[in-house]
Amino acid sequence: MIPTTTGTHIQPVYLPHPQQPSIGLSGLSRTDHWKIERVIIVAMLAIIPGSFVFDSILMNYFLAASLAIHAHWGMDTVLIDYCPRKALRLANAIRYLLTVLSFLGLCYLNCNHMALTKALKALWSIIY
Amino acid sequence: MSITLFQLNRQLLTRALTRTGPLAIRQQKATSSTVTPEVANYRTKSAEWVATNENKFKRPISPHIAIYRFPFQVFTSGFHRLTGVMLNTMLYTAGPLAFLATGHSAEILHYIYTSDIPSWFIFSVKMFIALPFSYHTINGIRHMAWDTGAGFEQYEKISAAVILLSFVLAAGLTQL
Repeated sequence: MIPTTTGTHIQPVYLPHPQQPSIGLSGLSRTDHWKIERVIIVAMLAIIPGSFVFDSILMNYFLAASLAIHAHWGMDTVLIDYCPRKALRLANAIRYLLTVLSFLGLCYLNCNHMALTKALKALWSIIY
Repeated sequence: MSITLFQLNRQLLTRALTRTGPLAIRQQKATSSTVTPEVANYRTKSAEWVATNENKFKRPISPHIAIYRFPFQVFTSGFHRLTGVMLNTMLYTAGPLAFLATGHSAEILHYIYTSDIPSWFIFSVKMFIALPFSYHTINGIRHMAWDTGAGFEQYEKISAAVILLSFVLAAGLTQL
């Protein structure tokens, strides 16, 4: 509850709530975006170990998609906080490019060569 | 030290009021129809005022950063972001480089197996991947708990536990 005072000169001022702006091309509001982000993060807790256990192509596509989208949204916050304002537009374009390229690169690995989990397992099998 | 902190404080305030990222630009466009002209005018005027008068007042802004005890959350939250950026860098370099894969992975792996790379180097490479991953994962779980409103008590103990657990998990992952 907002405390209201009566009988004084000090009165609360109520400003109208601005309409929830949509972000990006999705047309989603900030809160919807936040909820979807949480859903994906919770799903990633299952997808990452699951993809290494089952090691299937389908799980690797899930892994690639979730990694790419989580990285993309994480980088959004980082750029807004630290990027100089003049360079933001360029940095944002590079972010989109890198996200798409890395997702397609992981898909390319899935289709043509060994999947990401298999590649990581092969790298990990170098015993020291 | 104190002078730099004054400057930092002023910069933070300036940045907060005049922040116009790509999202903020869209926000202004989207809300321009609903915000009353007085409010919009006030916003632009205050932003302009801060931008123009930034260097005129060489006095501290209250409340000052230096009066607070340095919170431990700065480290855990900062490292969460740092590890996230590290993992992101790995993805953003490995993903596009995957197009250069030629199908000779077996030969490359055989070359690595047969060459005598020092063990400490392999261990540190594995730790360089595993430690950011484990810390970001475990601290991410704590962030999700914070989102539900739980786990704000005893944050220093929980932070210590998170750091310890992430090291244990990373060390375990290198042994797989």
